[in-house]
Amino acid sequence: MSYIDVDHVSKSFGTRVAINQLSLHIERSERLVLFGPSGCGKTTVLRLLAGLEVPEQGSIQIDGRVVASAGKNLVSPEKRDLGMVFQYLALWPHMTVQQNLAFGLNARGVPKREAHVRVREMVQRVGLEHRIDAKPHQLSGGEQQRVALARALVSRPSILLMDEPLSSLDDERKRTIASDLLSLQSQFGFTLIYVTHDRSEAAMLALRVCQLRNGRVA
Amino acid sequence: MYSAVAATVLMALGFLLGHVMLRDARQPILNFLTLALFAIPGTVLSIGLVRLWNSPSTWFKYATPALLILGYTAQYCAVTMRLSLAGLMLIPISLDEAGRLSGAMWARRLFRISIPLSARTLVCAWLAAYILCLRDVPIALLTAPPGADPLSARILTLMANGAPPMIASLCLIMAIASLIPLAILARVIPSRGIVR
Repeated sequence: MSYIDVDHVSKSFGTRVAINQLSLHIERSERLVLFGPSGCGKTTVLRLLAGLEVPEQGSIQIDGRVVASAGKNLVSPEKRDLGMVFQYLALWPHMTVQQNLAFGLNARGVPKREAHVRVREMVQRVGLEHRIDAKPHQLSGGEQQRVALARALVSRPSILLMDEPLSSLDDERKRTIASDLLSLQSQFGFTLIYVTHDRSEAAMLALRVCQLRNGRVA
Repeated sequence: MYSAVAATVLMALGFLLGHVMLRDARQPILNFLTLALFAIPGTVLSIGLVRLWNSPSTWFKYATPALLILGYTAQYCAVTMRLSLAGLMLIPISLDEAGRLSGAMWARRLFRISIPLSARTLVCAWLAAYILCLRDVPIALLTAPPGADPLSARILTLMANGAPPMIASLCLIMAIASLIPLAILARVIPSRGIVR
């Protein structure tokens, strides 16, 4: 049994089949890149793992626990112990960097003092300590990426899901953030599942590349 | 006063229902119910409320302005719900999803993410509800308890045998009461003009 087992999962949206009997097995601390053209079902796989979509068939196990099986999510996204960086980052625009990071820690009941320390550490780790009181619209694209990454990691999840987060950056920034990501992964040891349609990003980040086509592993 | 209280209730209820409408499969039922209550004439709705609550066991409510507030809420909930829904639809769903993945439950996401991002929508919903309640006559006439007539009902009653200067001054008060929130709103939310 692997750390994450996706077993014959299917998902449709209306008449369009997004995922068709997909099976995936991912080991702990692995760096898996889901690669494929637009519309092949990459994002749907991430959303199924996150619990934001419900599989119609098949089951998903994480760390030996069935989190979803045909037609229902058995563990809600709030309780899956994973972080996600969205394609458009989804930073809360009315909160500062510090508040964006502290939100999840407060929600999980981390004591305020400890949350403050962890936010400071993470902000330093991504090199944004001088921007801690800025709001997202006051940050550059690269800084926003770092905040989104820091927010996903500050609660120390065991799995990090990333949905084409670097697609809007130039090559140099992509390389910098990818190298930060690899360093964070070796430090925290989380399992990374990264979605992209860009071969260079896949090459930079992957230990294993899984190519999807029409909702199946090609 | 009653209009302000009802507008606050309507704003809160409309926002909650708008939130439910956005994500719940029972959307058509809720939509139909609120629209039906909006479409039913205020006179009919008020008579229904009076018949429902005018009994010895529910006298505690019938004899208070609570029935008036309930009437306003039932009649105008569709307006605040739809205004809230329109505002909520402008907020990307990924912001709520990011909250879920951060471990925040529904109430925390509502109060920390959805409400702060909908502040302008809430102000507009409150204002629309306030103006609708303030100008309403049938519900005010039929459901207000004795001695606690809203302004619109009082003006109508005085029309029969009141002194014209008194009626004129009440009309002026009502006009000012309608315009003050608009002036405040114009200060709080500056107009962005029409972009062509």
